[in-house]
Amino acid sequence: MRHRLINRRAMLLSAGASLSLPMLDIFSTKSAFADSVVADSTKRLVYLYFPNGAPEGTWSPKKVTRHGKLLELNPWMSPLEPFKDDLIIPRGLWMPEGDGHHAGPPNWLTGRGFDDDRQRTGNLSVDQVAAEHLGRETLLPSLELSLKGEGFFSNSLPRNSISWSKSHTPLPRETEPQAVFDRMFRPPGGGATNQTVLDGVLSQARRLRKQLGRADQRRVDEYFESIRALEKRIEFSKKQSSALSTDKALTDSLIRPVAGIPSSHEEYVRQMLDLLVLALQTDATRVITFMLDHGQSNRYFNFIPGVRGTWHALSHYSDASGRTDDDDGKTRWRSVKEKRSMYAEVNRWHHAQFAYLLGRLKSIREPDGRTLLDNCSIVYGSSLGDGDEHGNRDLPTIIAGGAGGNIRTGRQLKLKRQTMSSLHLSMLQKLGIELDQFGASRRTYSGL
Amino acid sequence: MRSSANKTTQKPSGLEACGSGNELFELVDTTKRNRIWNWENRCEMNVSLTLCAVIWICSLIFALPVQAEERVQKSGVALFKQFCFDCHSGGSSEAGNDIENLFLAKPIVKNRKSWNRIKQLIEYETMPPSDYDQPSSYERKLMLEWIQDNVDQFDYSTVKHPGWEPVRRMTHLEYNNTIRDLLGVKMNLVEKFPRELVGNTGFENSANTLFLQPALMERYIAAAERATTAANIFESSDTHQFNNALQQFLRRSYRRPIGKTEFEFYLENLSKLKRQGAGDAEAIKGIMAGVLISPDFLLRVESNSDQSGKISEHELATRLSYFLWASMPDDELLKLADDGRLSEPTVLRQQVQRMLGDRKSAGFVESFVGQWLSTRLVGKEIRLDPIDNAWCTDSLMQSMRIETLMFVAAIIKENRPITDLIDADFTYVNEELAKTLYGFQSIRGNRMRRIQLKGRGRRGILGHASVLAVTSNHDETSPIKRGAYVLDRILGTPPPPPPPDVGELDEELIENDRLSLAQKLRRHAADKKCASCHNTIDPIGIALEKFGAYGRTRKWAASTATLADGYELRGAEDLREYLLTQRRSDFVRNFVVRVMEYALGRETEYFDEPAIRKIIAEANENDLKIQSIVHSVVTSYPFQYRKENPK
Repeated sequence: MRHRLINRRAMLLSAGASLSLPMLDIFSTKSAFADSVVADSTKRLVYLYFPNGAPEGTWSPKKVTRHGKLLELNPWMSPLEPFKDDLIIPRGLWMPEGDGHHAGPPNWLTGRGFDDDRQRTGNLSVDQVAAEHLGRETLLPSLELSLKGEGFFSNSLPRNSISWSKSHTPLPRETEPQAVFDRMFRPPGGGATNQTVLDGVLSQARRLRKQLGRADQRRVDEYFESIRALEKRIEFSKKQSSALSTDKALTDSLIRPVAGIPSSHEEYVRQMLDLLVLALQTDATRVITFMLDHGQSNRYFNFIPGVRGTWHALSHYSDASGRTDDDDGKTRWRSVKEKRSMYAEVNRWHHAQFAYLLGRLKSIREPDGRTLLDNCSIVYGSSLGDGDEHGNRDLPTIIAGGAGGNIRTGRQLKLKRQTMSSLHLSMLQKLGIELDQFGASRRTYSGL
Repeated sequence: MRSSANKTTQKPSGLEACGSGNELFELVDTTKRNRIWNWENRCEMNVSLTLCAVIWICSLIFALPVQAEERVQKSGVALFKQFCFDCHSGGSSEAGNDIENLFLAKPIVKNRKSWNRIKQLIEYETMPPSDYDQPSSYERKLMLEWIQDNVDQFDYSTVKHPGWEPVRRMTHLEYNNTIRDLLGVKMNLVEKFPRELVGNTGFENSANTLFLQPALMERYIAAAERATTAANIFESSDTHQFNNALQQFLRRSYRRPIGKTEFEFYLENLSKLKRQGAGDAEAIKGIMAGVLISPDFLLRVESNSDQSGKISEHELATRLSYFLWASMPDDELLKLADDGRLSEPTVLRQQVQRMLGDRKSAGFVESFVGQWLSTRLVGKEIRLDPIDNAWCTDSLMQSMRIETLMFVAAIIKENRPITDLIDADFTYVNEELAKTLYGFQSIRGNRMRRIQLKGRGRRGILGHASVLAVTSNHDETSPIKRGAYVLDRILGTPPPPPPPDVGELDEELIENDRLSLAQKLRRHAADKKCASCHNTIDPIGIALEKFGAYGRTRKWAASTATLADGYELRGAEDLREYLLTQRRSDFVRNFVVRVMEYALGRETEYFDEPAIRKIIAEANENDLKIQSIVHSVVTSYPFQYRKENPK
């Protein structure tokens, strides 16, 4: 069995640098890296964040039955049309604790507000809650990915931080395909990873901790956790390498992406999505968050035919003069309508990338007979409604995947005054994590 | 006024601080009585407005009997309740601004930043929103008056606290410099580190944004391996010599003396590694790599403060070196700390001078200036497409950045007054920068050199291509951006963001090609909603209009405008004079605060106010000489002490 698994992966990975894995569901997907053999219906949780919201109306499906069954999406969501049976479109979601470009990202998964003076939230994020439960058996408790930000604000803490392992600790995000690959397949090595050395470092940290006051201990605790995570990783990677060592062809054929960021944005996104799929498929982790950009992205999407100007500028479409402070000074639009449709076009492009991910996940068969998509819970969305009005009462969101048969998809859920926190609470419960409160919410998301 | 009775009320007793004590709670808690009170209050105002004004003016001039003073207090508080609390009180306050809560803070200046924002919003009439009840101009005045009396004029004499931040890791820049100075290894070890994120201070060395997560630890492991592989390993068959070298390495790595047990621990680990089969060099490398990932190395630990909160000599050495060098303390600093002499005033003064003279002070200039003025974005976030703009080369971008750095470095080295930042008559250029952007034809070669500026036009940082590019929209100037930048970065008085119901320049106006940008902005500012703010922002930017997007001279551009306070600015020259005369105290204060925030690695708080005022006073006594400001900062209470924050 194991032998077959490895051969299969060897085949898959030698397919090319883009790491695209064709559908080959006759092989099993038992993990070479998990601590134990993957149980049936290994559940995974994925969050995909995009900034700048979506124009109002572009999130409304065109045809829905009386009971909410999705019959037809709409032209702006066309790339997702083939997957409509795997989706839920929740409407009317909001975040009472703050939204937008700045407070929005930290709030999106924590639901407890962002304290700008102290640069902290009031909660750890939903993915980290899940990682505490699902992450014990995997190489990495969770994986945080992001596309490398461009322009102003690309080093802003709140705009880049959706995952918080403590209310005061945002997690850094991997932006380079090669670095993502290395975290999965190239464990840290060298003199500092010798167990004697690590033991020494830990005893030093213990001594230091005693010297410090309570509040300082927090940082030393961060340190401890980092070293422990490291030890765990080294341990896991030993298993990984012994699993891999049975077949030299595989170790040789794991294609490590080249260093740097691909110059084509689409190629970049797809490489990252391929790595995301690879991580889930090999059970390197079960919890992944991926920011498709920072909370106020000013990226150009001029490579999409008919689109001009930066993303954030496009989102403020009601002034098409090209002369506002959001603009780059050189792009102009003929009309508000034109600008707005370009804004929607950027969304549609992201839908296409999301559809690519869904297609990949759907093509992979799990040991329990379900597809990888069926065993995932995915939330794809933004911390902002219509970017022009900085709307906050209908956050563009899509839920995908079946949570191991626990979520019935193919529906629109039109509910009033449901918070993101209640959605997170429900998602955790669907994963089998028994909590009765998340963020400020004690209510689950009704209807899921 | 400060009866103890309110302590028995249900709400916490944060009231004394706002000066009006009980009344607030009566107002806040008993809606019914409140309504009556408001009604009376309004009648009183509407009917006898003149009388009130007289009383108000009197209360400013004379110390009136308590009763009259109380009236101002009372009216102020009541007006906030009347006009703001509808949206800004309780848990679900709009924009997260719970003004009711601000009144309860103790001391009231705890939220002085929020109060300053509120002050602006009232002053510029951007709040309450236009579709809500508007206070009369007299009522606005009363509210401002209340803030002034209770927040601006707060008596800080009893406030004494040095502030506190958790132990922090080094920044990536500091890490790289430290390895350079510790091991003599010059390589970019931090290239693949996760990006440093920045919070409130705008500086990446702020303790509250320096986290140590597993993903970063993995980078430290890899960097330690690279660094120890590249470094010269100290090997010696002479035990005494070897022990000495190890001792020195540990002391320099941990920036403090190494105790006997601690040292023996490393010797023991060393032999353990050898027993496991490591060769001499490999074992030593392992020990070194362990040191480079140890908490004592990566974290800037401060644990030795005594009862008074004073940090230890070695901690002072570390604070100094990371402030002025962005790197570890050298042997001289460590030696002085060992001898317990570093904090002696004369020694400290000498050391600061020495450190500023050392080339490692480039670490401070690059990091502080690059972030304060955002000039380090030039060539990265700030750049034009080189295909359309062949002149926009990497070397030009670099020269632009370096001009500003060399300029500030010279001001520090020559101990010039900080006003030179605005109007010094020299700068640094090479041929490319001089010809491409400034139109100076006589400069030859790539070397950046100092030149004397003949005219007054391009003096100071506001004439630097770097600053002018950072404050432009791509390849067009933006008077709004430049005005806001000067108000924020140079004066420390940022304008409030535009209110949500106000649009940008309207389309019809934009399309009117017969108007210059300056004229359009004037029209825009004529719109009453926008006027209040833009009359303070735009004229500053317009005064810089003779500089193009990348600082090219544009003789044709109109650059005259009048500020809200009636001050007319005719071009950059007038702007400089305005900044250094009318706004001199804001400019000085802002510089001091920025240096403090960088030096301390945190935002300044209300309890830093006494120290800030002292530094400003000392700066003024010393003709605003830049080194004396740095010196005042390192001798200040917050720099030399540390105590857990008041709750």
